[in-house]
Amino acid sequence: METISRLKLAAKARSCKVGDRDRERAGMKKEVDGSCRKVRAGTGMSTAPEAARAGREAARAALAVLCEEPPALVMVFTTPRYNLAELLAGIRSVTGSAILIGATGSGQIVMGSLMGFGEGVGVLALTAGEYRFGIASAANICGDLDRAGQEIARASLAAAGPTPYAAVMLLADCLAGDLQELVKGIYRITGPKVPLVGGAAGDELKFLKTFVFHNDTVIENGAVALWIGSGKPLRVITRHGFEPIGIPMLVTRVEGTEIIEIGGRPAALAYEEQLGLTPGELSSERFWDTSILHPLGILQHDGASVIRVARAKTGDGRLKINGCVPPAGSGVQVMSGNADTLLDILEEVAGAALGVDSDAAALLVFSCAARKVIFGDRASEEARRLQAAAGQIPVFGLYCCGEFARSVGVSGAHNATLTALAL
Amino acid sequence: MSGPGGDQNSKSDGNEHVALIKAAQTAVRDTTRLTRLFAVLSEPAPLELMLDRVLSTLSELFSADIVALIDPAGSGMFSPLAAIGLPEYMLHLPMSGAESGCVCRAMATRLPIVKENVDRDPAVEPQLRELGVQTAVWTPVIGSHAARGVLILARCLPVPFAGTDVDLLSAMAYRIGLALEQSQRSLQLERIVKAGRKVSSTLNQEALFAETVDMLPTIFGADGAVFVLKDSEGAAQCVARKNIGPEWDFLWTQLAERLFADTNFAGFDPYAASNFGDDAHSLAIKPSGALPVRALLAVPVLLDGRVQGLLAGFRASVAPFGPDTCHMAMLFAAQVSAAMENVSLYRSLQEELAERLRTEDERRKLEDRLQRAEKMEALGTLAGGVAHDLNNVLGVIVGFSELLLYEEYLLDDTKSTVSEILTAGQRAAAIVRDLLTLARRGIQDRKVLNVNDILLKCLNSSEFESVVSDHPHVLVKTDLETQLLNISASSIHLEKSFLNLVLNAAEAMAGGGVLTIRTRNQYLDKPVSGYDAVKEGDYVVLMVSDTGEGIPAGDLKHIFEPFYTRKVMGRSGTGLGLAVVWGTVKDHGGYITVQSEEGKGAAFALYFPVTRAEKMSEQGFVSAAAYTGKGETILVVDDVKEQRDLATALLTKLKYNVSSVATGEEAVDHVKQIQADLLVLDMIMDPGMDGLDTYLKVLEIRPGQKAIIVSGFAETERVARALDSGAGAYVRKPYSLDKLGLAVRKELDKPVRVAESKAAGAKNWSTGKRDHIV
Repeated sequence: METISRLKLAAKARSCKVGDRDRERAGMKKEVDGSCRKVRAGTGMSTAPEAARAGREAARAALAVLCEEPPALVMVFTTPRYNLAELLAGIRSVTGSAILIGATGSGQIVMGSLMGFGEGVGVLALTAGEYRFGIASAANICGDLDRAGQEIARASLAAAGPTPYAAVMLLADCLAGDLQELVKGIYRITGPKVPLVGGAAGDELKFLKTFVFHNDTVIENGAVALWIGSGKPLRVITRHGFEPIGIPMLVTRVEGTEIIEIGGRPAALAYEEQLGLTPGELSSERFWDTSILHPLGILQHDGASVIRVARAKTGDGRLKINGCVPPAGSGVQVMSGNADTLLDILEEVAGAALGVDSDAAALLVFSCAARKVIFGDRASEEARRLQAAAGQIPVFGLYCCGEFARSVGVSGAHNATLTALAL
Repeated sequence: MSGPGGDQNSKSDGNEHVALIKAAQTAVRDTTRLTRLFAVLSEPAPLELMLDRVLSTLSELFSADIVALIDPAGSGMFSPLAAIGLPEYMLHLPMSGAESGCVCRAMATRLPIVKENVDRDPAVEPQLRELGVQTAVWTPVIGSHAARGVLILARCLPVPFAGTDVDLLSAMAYRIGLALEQSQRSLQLERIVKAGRKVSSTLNQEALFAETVDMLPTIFGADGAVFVLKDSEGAAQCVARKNIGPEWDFLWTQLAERLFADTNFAGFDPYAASNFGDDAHSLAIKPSGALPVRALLAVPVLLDGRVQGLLAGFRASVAPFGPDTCHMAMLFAAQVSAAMENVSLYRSLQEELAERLRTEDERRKLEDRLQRAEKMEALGTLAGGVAHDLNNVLGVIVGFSELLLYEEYLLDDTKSTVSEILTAGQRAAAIVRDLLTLARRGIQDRKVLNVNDILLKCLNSSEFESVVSDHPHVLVKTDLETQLLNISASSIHLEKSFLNLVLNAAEAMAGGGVLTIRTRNQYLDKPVSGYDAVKEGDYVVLMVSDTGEGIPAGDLKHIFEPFYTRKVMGRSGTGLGLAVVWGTVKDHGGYITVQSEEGKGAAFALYFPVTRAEKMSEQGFVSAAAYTGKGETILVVDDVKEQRDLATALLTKLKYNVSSVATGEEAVDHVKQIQADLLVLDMIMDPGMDGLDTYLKVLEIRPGQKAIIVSGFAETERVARALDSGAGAYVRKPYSLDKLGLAVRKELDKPVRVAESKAAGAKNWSTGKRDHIV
């Protein structure tokens, strides 16, 4: 029953009655023939226990809103509990040969609703409108991320074809390594005029196996890029909601994914000091609860900070970093935030993203699983407030283990950040 | 902003705190930049990877959307050596190389250029404007010597680069320049080593030139290359070029001429220009048309310690060649010089080896010929020794037989018998002559004759008839040149040789076959090497070929040796047939070649040198009255009694008054006492004075003494000297009555001459022609 009610809710958002179908079709046809081809977007979700059925249900709901216009793009964000191949098959049995991109994560945002761990699958379907989509993927990217980034950027661009403006949506395995290298590889192909948005696939914080989707293929240790060619500028908005505290420090030694020293002293020591704690006061068990609210911010030229979350500390005072570790010589500052500060950015993000394009059909958001942890019981508030800010425009998103957002320069890998793109 | 633990400060303290934090952030940020960059630069990595890391770091540290490194001095190109933020399709496009462009200006001034509103500035590279760049900075990358390139940072947002940013970038650019220099130096050294190995292993001059210009652009970082050397007359010549056509050779030779005369260049200083067009005028070089060369680097090539050429690398852009490149270029030129010395040495060695092999081969051939000749000579000496004694004996037989035939009292039967004795004696004499021919001691009565005439005579002779009848299944074909030139030869020896060849050919075709006789004129414009080495010249060639059993290859070089034969003794006569042929050909200054294939036949070709003299008409029958004596006194000098008796008898028959002595000494004593009208002198008298010595002695006593020489041997040098000294004729033994008589009569009928000099061998006695009768 609950499943059906959710479907009805989704359908209601962009309703298309049977009796109105002909009129709608005539209206759509007029719009298509006109100089402006409006993009239509529909979302659907399902919590059905069986993968294929869940896929079909979510896909049908998403397509229902398109008023029988075939989709050009399908996005799928899902819990990893499903048999993913069956899930995709179920979706594709409804959506046909439309481009499909997706990933497993740590929760989904679908039309103002939060789908938590293990709940189900969310599907977004988009018509082409003025957009040109091209998709490409690479498997076994671990070890040569730069080259993999170049390959998928090149191939997806070739598939989409040249357009005046473009953006790239990237989904990648969060366990594949330093994803900044992947971003750099893509940047070599795109150049500065093409923004990047996306996130690292997750597995509901287990950090065992994550997956991305390219049409009907499930890829582990891989990356998939969607080239979005557009006739109008596309802009990626990025915010995190943390503020710096303490004094800026220099990372002096790193190794792998661990910061060994900050300012010439054991990293954990320097970190705890900045928090006003006595060295060693923060136990390993309690570390995550603190560090998630007090990540490190890598100082940028323009004064902004790129967030890096330390997920643990070692016995010898090292800090283990999620994602890309700040290189030695980086300036860092301990940041501070809470649910309120993190949620307070939502309206700004939605507004800024949608402000770029008044005709946007959907708002894509990539939030961090760490933010969801911080939100705690208020986790659903992010989805709800984003949808409220977006109004009638469906919001569709994923909780990732690392976010991609490149607007300036080569840097584009973030943690604990919200990034958004309006299509 | 809340502090640790969430305590609130007062507003002023808060502002101050914020300001302090900002200052700290700035300080840390600046430190970060330097630290991060130094860390990347100090990590050992291949150049490409190092540059990629550096530029990524700069992009991150300065929030630059585009970071590009242009290194024209190193790479020779204005396209980016490395870049971040340039789309793939732009990576190989040159950033503007125009002198007014920001890249060239930054390099020239060695000062950074900062610009805002870049999208509207036409001086900015079009790539940057296309990408929507708003602000940019061009920082010169300076190595240890000079500006080698430019580091470009650009932002697509209108956020200008602050002064502190630019200062930091300049410091970083310098470090980048040093790192670049060091890395490229290693790379260049590696290339030099590889290039050196390659050129030093080349031993062919043309290949060396080609490889040099092929490798030079990589080493110099050039677009093209040229190699100029002085030729044997000291003029500059372009010996190889790459990526530039031969129509520009005049430019290089002119440049080379100027540089060779320049003391700096001659003192091994390279010549470098960033814009050769400007320099060309100062060097008085007039290029015509659009000059495809802008930057140029030329280094001297030394041979034997002197400048003998130059290697030049050029670029189509004004990107100058840096000092490091100049050093590398000099190194490479030194390697090329060494390689050229190697090539020269190798060529000399090759030539010497070839000469030695040629000499060795020639020596071997000469040895073979010498051995053959020595063998023949030895055999001939043996034969000659026999012939001398045999001749004397035969002379008696032939002479007295002849005399007997003059006797009227002889019965016909007896006459017939004596006639046969005479014929046999003459035949034996002919064999002896063969032997002497073999010994190369027989002087031929050479006349201008035509080989075709000789052949026709032989073909109609009884000997030929005999051969034909003995070999009825042999078909004889002739193919005689109608306009055959003349030769100077002995008809008897030619006849003999021809018949020997015919006999050999017929006997080689026991089962029948075809015997072909050909003559032709042959001009050889170069020597022909075969059994014999035939020199170039005009020849009459006589060819006798058969389709018989052929001569095995192993026997070919022996067939002309006396008594070497595979035929059954008896059928081939004495076994001297081919030896006589060989001897005859050699006596006539000719050559002989043989070709044979076992089972298919053999072909002999005799080459006789052509003479342009005309034939004389055949000498007809001479009557006895032409040589009868008138009572003149003749002294016969011969150490052989029988010869003395024979000569005395013949001359007495001819109505001369004849005396005879046995030695030269006796002859001298005789003439002191009694004058003789004529001496008949035997040449070889052993022991004691020979005919020449005797004659010279006599001349001292009786200047103008008439004499003829008689001998059983071929005309020797001593006979020639005697004739030159005044002796009238040489008569070969055995002589017939008429031959002896004619010689005596002819000499006696000559007017007496007074000697101009008594010196032995004076040639002015001679009329220039020697008369001799065989």
